[in-house]
Amino acid sequence: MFKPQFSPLHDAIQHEHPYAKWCDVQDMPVFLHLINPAKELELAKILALADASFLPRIVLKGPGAAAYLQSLGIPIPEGLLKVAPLKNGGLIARTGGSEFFLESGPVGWPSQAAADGLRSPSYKEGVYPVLRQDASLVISGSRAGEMFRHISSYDFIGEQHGDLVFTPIAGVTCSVLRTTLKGRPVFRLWTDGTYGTYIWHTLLEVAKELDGGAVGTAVFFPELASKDNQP
Amino acid sequence: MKLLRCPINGLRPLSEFLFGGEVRDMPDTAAITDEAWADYVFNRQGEPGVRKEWWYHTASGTWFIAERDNLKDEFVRTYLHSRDASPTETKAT
Amino acid sequence: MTERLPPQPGEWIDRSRPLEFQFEGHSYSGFAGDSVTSALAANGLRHLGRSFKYHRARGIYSLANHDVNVLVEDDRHTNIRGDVTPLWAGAKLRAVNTFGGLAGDRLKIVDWFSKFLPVGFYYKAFHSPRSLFPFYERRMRNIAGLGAVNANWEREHFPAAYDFCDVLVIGAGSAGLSAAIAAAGLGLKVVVVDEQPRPGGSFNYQWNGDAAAAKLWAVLAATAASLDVRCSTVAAGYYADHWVALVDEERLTKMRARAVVLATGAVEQPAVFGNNDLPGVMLATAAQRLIHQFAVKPFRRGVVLTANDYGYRAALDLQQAGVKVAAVIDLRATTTDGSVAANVKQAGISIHIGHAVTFATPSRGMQGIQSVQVSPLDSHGQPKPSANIDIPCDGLAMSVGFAPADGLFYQAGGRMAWSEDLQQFIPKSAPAGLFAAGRLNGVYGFEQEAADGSRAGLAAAAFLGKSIEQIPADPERPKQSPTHPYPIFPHPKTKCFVDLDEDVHYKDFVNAAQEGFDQVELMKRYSTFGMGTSQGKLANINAIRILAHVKGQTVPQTGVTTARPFYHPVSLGHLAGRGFHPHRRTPIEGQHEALGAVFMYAGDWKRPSYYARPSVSPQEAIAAEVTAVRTAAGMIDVGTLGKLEISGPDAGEFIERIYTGRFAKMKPGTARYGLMCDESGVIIDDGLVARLADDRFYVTTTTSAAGAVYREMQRWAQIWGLQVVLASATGARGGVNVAGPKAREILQGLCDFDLSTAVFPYMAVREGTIAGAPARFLRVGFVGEWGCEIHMQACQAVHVWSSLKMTGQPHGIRPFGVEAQRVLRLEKAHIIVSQDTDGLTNPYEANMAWAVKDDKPFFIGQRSLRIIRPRPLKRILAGFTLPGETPAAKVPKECHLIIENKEIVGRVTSITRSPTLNQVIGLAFVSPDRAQPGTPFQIRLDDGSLVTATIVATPFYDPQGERQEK
Repeated sequence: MFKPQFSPLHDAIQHEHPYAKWCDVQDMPVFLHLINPAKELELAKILALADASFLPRIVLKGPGAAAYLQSLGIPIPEGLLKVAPLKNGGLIARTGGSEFFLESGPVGWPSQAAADGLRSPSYKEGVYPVLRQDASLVISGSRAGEMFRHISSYDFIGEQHGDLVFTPIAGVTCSVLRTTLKGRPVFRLWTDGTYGTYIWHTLLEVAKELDGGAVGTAVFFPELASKDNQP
Repeated sequence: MKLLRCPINGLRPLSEFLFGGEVRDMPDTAAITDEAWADYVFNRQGEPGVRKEWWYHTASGTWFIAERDNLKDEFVRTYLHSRDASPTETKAT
Repeated sequence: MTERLPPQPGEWIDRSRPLEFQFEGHSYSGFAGDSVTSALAANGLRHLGRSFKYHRARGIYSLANHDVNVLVEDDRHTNIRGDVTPLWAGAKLRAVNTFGGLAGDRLKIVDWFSKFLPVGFYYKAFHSPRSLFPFYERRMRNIAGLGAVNANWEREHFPAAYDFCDVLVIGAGSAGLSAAIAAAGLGLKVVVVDEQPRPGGSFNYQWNGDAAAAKLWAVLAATAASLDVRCSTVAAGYYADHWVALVDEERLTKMRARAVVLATGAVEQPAVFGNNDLPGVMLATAAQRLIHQFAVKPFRRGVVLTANDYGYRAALDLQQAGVKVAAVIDLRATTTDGSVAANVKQAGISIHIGHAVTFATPSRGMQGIQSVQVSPLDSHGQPKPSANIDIPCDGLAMSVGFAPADGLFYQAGGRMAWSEDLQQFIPKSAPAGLFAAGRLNGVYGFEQEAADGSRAGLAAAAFLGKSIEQIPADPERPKQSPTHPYPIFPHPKTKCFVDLDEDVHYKDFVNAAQEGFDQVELMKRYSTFGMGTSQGKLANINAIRILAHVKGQTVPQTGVTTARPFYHPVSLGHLAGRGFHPHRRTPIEGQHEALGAVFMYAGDWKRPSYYARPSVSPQEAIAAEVTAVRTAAGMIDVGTLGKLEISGPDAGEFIERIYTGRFAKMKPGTARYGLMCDESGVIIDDGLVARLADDRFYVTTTTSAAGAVYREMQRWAQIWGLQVVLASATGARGGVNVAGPKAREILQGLCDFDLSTAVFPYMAVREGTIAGAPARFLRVGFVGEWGCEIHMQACQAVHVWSSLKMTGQPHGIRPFGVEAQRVLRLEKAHIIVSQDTDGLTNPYEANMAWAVKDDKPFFIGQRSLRIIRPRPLKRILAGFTLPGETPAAKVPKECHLIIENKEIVGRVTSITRSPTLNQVIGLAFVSPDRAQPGTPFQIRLDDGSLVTATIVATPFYDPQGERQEK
């Protein structure tokens, strides 16, 4: 059954780009392009923001969480705030002693077993899933660090590590990760979905001052472009 | 802006934290007199010295303990409260 | 008439870019590179402002923003500091603080009345008769203050930014640049800031003709070209852990450094004598800045007052600029006849050793000077008036000493000590990572300052872990102090100014000390010295000297006042930055907008207050929403509620300890009201505790307490060491509450489980689907009708809302907002924590004894409640009504007080008109002995009148709760 679900940024993006193209990704409309794709690629080199809220996410907590994940073939990062990639483009971060944040790649979890296991983990094994409905962004470009200098007291230019950073951005709790997407250096950002519109607008306002702008999701997840169909 | 070292997230400006009050054990409610209980509820120790304080890193939801010299206003050490393992002590700044 | 000189080497003006501007209605021209002040001076203007209190004419004094004599405004901005504001084309400026313009300021008459305005007169005059005080106040408000605020100002944006470096060097003179070069040479990231538009510090004006200085400067400038040097940037404040506020025209930058070198220099100080404030009297460095930076002749015929070599250099500079230098007056009894003095003599300028200037004769209209009176000094350094000589001149340049620019040093926690040799304070101790260099450190001389800067830069590098073979020795300080110990010569008949900003003069100190305000911090507040815009940069040290002299003690015994941010004025726009206002929206917000919701703010959240309808007043719209819920069905977005998951084997035990009720033995599928108290027994939150499984609970909290409750639970979980896992779902789940007699029917058409009472009774919880979306369903009764609260994934909230609306349409479902919900719950007398409870309310006062189960081993607040319970209540929450016909003006508001025998005996906590009952209903704290139904009481309205209300039993509507529990 079709269960329409929406990214927390859907209204904001639709409002600014009424004619933007979108496609259906796992029952969620995703804006592939907001402006001319060639222009989007140019922007991505300077400063571009895209909505990545569509990627499925989950947090697993509890004494049995680590063992359960391993039983699904998912690697566990050793230290706190460490991040490891997952097959198919996802990632896993250790956000607590026995707490793990997982995000799927654009085409799915690493394996069918993992997908099944993460959809309904067994409660008896001391594993407690936490629902996540983040607003999530991809930020790329040579001026991305400069943008963070306007809105965060964390030194995203000086600190070059690849660990998860929990810090307020423009006054709102976010987690930020310096990573690469298909070889392109990017920042990933996650925040509570209810702050999504605020974060989107605030970051965009700064980005525009720095000659940047919003781009469609296909810029960073080109594999979605092949599913080019309107509902 | 003062810097404080969260045991998990590292050195951060004080604005990323919430002060959680004095670290103290709750007395045995069965054995305690009303007067002593009222003292526990309403009074705090503030004399000059190194005080143990609860601090909370709001962005990550981490509670930890900071020992602070309240005369010099300098953080001495920070560590997680942990019942079983030994505390992960780190220099506070 | 122009005072512009031929091109000067290194001048700051660009003669190829003339700028036209206006001042006080007249047109003038200047050049790009001029400051407002220098452009005015270039046009021959000397009288540039009126003083704060006495409205005396003022002109250039420091030309370095150490005074604020030149304060101008235009139609957009006010309090523009002329010394440091670059001139711009088309500027239309006027002086602030005048009545009728600069020249004809009508308030100059205040100067004549000054004997009635002694120090501290603010505290003494105008007290009686009291009835006249409003008159005095209005007059004072018109006269006092500086610029006028333009209320129609358009908002300007100064987006703040963060920055980071290893070593921050404050000051780009020889000391600062040398420090920067030393640190950068070791691979550290160095940032240099300087408040002037160009680096160089004193080199820009004080070392004209000094070949050694020029050579050294050339090397420094060349090396510094590869450094990050930010000019026109003020280090305005020093905060903990080397966090420095850097202010430039565009923004405020919050710089975090790991070490800081302060090379801020020293501020030249004025002499104190009769009429030492008139236009034409200025610091020697001001005259030199005018000449070398802006190519302006300061005056026509001048005298130099000095106590050091710098004054002699200034005399030569003046002569070179075409000023007739009548004399150099040297305060010192003897001088070593250095080469500079010899040059002055050779230039034909007469030198008077052991003399002082004691009086400046005003020119016509008190708008300048026409001569200075010079007295020889006796062996005690006192003037001998009998031997006075008068020297005609229109300008006086003073070079009598320096005081370190130590504001930032003090703010950083540094301590200074008085050097009797140097006659200035020098650093005694500095916090880790802070290093002083140059004149701030008591080192004078271009080469010596540079060497001291290198030392400080290396010390900073060593502090940051760089291995340095040998840090150079401590600095070489001058054998002969450039600062005169007491350049103060009180004139018996004329004001001798100490603080120009505040018009505080010598006599004020004597009077204040006589009145007992003889401790430096008291003297400051009583006289207001050091409290003006320049914060005493030219006044503090003389004030301390005078106070020490009056009390017969030393300067170190007298002490200094506390230096606080900001060093120079910072605009509110800079401090506001972007002005972040985080806001949260529930996933359904777009739907509310489309339905015409009128929003209100609840913390960060926007919530629909009510849904507006055409030609219907807000009151009517709210009443219609209430009626819809009571007669058909309503739906409200409750997505803002806190939603917490408490899981694990000890979850039940954990909740037992947190809440006052019993939960450990609840059956899965049931929910209970949860009341939370703090350790003192005061109610802090309430909500619903639902058990989904043996080891899984789902708990709701109020919107505003969600964050705090979760945080405290996290802490208790650690302290108690229970096996419990906490998670917040507040933002991850949306929430919709559907209530009303038709609600069940509407829902049954959408849900995949049986909603009949037998299997889904009041206070049950189920997991199921609605319109295909998985959700949690709680049977609740907050508004007093059959109700179900649905918590779904945020991304599917809009789908659920739309489905409900569509399915419910034929049944008459209506969205309702916060206002209607407040009426509905009040009709049931359901309390709202922090509205019907306050910071001291315990459960017994709120009729919640039933929620407190004291026979369990422990809960937070239990011990305190055991002390409180046996005591008689001081107040109790009770329901009351007023007749439905009560006119709006006679309906009390929340927090209106209950009065009995002219005493306050309680207050209203909630009140509203009930459309269902056609009455005004409310809750109030009343005395327990006057709480029986039927008891009347009086409520005091805003206008002081009293209205009578009557206590009634609650709930007001459906007292048996049949409608919500069926």
